[in-house]
Amino acid sequence: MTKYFGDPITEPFWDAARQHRLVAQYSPTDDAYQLYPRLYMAGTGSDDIEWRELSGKGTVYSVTQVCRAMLGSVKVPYFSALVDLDEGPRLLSRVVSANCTIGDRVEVQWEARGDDPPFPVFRVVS
Amino acid sequence: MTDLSKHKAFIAGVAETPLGEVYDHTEQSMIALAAREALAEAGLTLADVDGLACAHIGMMRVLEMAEYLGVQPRWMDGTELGGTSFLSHVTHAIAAIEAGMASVVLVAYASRQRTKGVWISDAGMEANSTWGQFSTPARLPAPIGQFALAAARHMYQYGTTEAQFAEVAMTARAWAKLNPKAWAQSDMTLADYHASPMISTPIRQADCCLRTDGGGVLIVTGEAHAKNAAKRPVRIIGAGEAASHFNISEMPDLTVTPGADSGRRAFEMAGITPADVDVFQPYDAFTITPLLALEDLGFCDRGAAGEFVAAGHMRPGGKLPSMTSGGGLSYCHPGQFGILLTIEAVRQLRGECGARQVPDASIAVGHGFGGFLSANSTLVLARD
Repeated sequence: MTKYFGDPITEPFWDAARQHRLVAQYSPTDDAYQLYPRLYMAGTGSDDIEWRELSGKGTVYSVTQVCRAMLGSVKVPYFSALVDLDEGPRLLSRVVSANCTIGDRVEVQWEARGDDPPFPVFRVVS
Repeated sequence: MTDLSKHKAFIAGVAETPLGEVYDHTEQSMIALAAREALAEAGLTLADVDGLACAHIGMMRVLEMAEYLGVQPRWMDGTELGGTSFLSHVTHAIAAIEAGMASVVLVAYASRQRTKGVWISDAGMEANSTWGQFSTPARLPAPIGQFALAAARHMYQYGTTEAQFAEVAMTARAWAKLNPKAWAQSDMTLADYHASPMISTPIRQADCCLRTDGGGVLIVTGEAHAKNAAKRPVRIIGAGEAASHFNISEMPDLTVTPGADSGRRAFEMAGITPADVDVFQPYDAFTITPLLALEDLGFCDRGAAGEFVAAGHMRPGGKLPSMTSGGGLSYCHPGQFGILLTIEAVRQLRGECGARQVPDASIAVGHGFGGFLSANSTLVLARD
């Protein structure tokens, strides 16, 4: 039996992440992307899904600087943010730059996680 | 206002469980105490209860509670929507009563999260769930982080200020000082607010609800039972619910919650407008939530909620007295607050609130938030 990092539906996303490629599901019928990956397009049920590589560029929709350690050994402060990718989908992630505010332009950077596939975080670009 | 008599469901009894720090009870015995009190208000006994709804207590919560109370429900609801669950239970109970599937519904909640030292975090989310794969690595501390993102966006989009968030906290505290049962009774000034430690920008500790024990019981009945209530029953004239997402990345607009839909549904059912509302009980989990509620329900324009609260409208004597118990911010927050804000709405309509009583309150709105701005339910209650 195949062992997945996540689940059978999201595996193409994590396979691409191992190659530092940010991908999302795209439906020509809906002309829309979706992230996270699902069996079919949420809300419409369209299943003409293609995997497309994204530019990795986006804009910070909202951001919070976490100041109090609430997640075990995770060190504070850091920025958790919602990033609107240029192609449309929104991703909850982190911004690893020294400063970050809403509206900042950001691009993806891959955070190594040992044997697990890297996670897409972002850095502010001018 | 339309004819009230077409609305056939009532809240005929309410009671809080022990609140604050509860060492000498279980969740089940807390509910049993409150059930006895609420049923007495309704002029009913356990033998009359044929419907049971609860959330977040034990593994098979309705079954455990039915057994403990010794009731054999023919209608059950274990809907779990976080803090707004109980307003949704009432919403569903109206339909059950109108359909003849239940005649006396007991809605219950209790938590000892404070004395047990447990609270909601995403630690329980499985690593290979969609949350575990796509939200957990962002290290957003749930639920504070989600509300912080909404507050930050509201500030960016509308110029809402820290001082306006502070005013929400100070308003809740002003009410709490009029409620002998409220947990937090000390004065809170703007300087106190700014001295409060930052948790996750822009949310300070003073923006966060309390973490106490507590709970309550509501008795929902039809007209025949309501007539025999020992205390004045309150008519449920509007109810609505809505949900939009679970992971915060899937929320379309962080400044518009599903409450815009639940509120519209409830107000339409009631045939009221915001101007008809005498007392408002928004779920103040964080200071941002009453502001979102004001805008979603149309008490002010989009983006104007900060100015609305800063004008003192939600305070004692204001034009929209809100969070009159002291709210989740200053009175009690046992993990899920929806049942307590509903109890306060009922008591305001009965005129039982002593120093914090809103004069001549005849229409009250309770507005619950659930999850991570994920779901809302709205109740419109009328003095009968």
